[in-house]
Amino acid sequence: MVQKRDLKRLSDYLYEIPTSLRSDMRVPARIYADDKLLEMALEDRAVEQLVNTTTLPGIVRYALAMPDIHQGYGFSIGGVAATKLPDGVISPGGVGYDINCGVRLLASNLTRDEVAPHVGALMNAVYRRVPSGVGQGGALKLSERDMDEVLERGASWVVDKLGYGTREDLERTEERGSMAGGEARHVSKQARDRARGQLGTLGSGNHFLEIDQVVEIYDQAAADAYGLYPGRIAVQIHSGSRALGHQVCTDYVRRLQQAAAQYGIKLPDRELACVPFDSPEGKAYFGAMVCAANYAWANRQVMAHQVRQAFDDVLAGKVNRRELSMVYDVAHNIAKVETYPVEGQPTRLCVHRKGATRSLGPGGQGLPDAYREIGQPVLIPGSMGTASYVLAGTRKAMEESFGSTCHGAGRVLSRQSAKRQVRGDELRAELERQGIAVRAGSMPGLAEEAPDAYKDIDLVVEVVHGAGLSRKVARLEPLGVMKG
Amino acid sequence: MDANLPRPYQEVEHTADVALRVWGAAQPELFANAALGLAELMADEHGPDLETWYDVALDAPDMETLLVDWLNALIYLGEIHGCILDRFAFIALTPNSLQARVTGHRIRRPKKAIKAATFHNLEIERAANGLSVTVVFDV
Repeated sequence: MVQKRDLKRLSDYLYEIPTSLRSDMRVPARIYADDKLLEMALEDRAVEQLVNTTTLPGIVRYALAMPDIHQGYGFSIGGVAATKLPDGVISPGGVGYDINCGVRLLASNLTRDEVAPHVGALMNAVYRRVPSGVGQGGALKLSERDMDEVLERGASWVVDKLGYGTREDLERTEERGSMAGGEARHVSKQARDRARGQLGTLGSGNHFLEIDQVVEIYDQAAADAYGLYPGRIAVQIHSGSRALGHQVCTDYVRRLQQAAAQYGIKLPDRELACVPFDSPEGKAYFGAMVCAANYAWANRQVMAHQVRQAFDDVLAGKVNRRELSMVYDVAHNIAKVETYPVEGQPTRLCVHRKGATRSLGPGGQGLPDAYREIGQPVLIPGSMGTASYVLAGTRKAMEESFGSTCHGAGRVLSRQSAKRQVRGDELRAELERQGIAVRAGSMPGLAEEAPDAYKDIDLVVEVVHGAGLSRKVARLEPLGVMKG
Repeated sequence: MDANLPRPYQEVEHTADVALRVWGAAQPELFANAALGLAELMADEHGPDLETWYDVALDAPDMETLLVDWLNALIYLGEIHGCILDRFAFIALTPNSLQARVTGHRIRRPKKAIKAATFHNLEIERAANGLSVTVVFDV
């Protein structure tokens, strides 16, 4: 286990583990945290996993941990690792099983007073229109050809073919919801079979759909650009690529373990299976991972459409100006080819973000015109029933953290511990007492996601704000929560 | 089963996911118990029995990989057919290959979506009274 004495404090919010800790480290490891979050990070094997990632062939500068770091499999969750192309490695474990798990935020001109009398009805309508929970399929059943289109075109297929959403939705989605490089032929039959009926479904676990109100603005210019105003209603959708991403990860962790040996790569943990990015196996994984990412963007696009329909179902004839406009959609489990400075030179890298969010500052490549001067909206969901944050990307993140910041609160309690400490029905009653309408398919599932099972989102956000990896723009609080 | 062996499987703590500690007198018991533990994680109530058996045939470089492949095959079949698989007949089983017929029952009340069995710290340990392993599942 890594101890606190193994770390060197570099600044108020940054610690470093030097390469002298272990002979197989190629670069140092760095952790963004304050004292309290650092102690939490050291409680399980997360930091040891972070150190394992410093051994990846081709890794540059340092392996990074965000303040929401916790134990995962292979890589810790809340980590960033960048490898130099073309021969640096790509690793499915550096992306995770739920490829392109991410967050979409919709904003409105609706006020809390207008919506408050209808929150229960809105949550019921959303619950009817967006299937959620264990084993719940959706209304769409994709043909083989449609599946290929979704895998390679993502959210743009949903807008063009189904007519769900607008061009603006796509402009305001990371990679425009349609990441280049997807090759459907690299996605297995098993992955397709599992995902065929899941498009437009929330799933279970920590995924949620919330009706929020904007309660505080920290950066007026950015909030104006993002269309966020105090007292107005917003909607957050937190979901991913459903079973498709999990199967792609399963398939390639298995396949790349054997391939790694051919390239002379020794793995400290099998879940760190990796191969050179430009190898046939690396290209195949990247092609399949992009497909899973596109599926996730398509999934959130369909759900956003259903939420808009639900708002129409309930509010038509009662409230005008009920449009839900897209703020942004971010991935927090993904590998991307991006360019950042290494030894002072712009360098093409494979940036793995597992439980980390891209944080492009002003001028960042690929930002829509509306955000070019301000920086990318960074969406940081809190745990159920607690606040969430909208941040803005920074130039410092592009210089220091491969354009990355945190992704959420980060677990501290195991699911078993959470269930021992909290009962789902009591939690639901408590949230309802706080004025939050709850719709959940499973009470034990609700208990596993209790706020006490997570770190304090306020602490996490203060660290990334203080470290300059992203800056606070707005705080959201929930009025209604739907859990799978 | 050997009376000196501990219970066949038990859920253990893992911060973000679900883990099972599994024991077996030998490979067939270990593989069957791991599959039974997986089935218990996934459903609370049994529905009607399946009338179909599914064939599973796998090859792997080592026993650990074969165990992960076996559990992932059950997750896949269960998910696409909407069932829990908890009855198995091993036709052939070696550390590197498996042939089995599997069946089970429909799901009446699903408990937890298990998405994948992982290789996280996976090591089959061999002791005098049998084999044991901890499998971490992605949920």
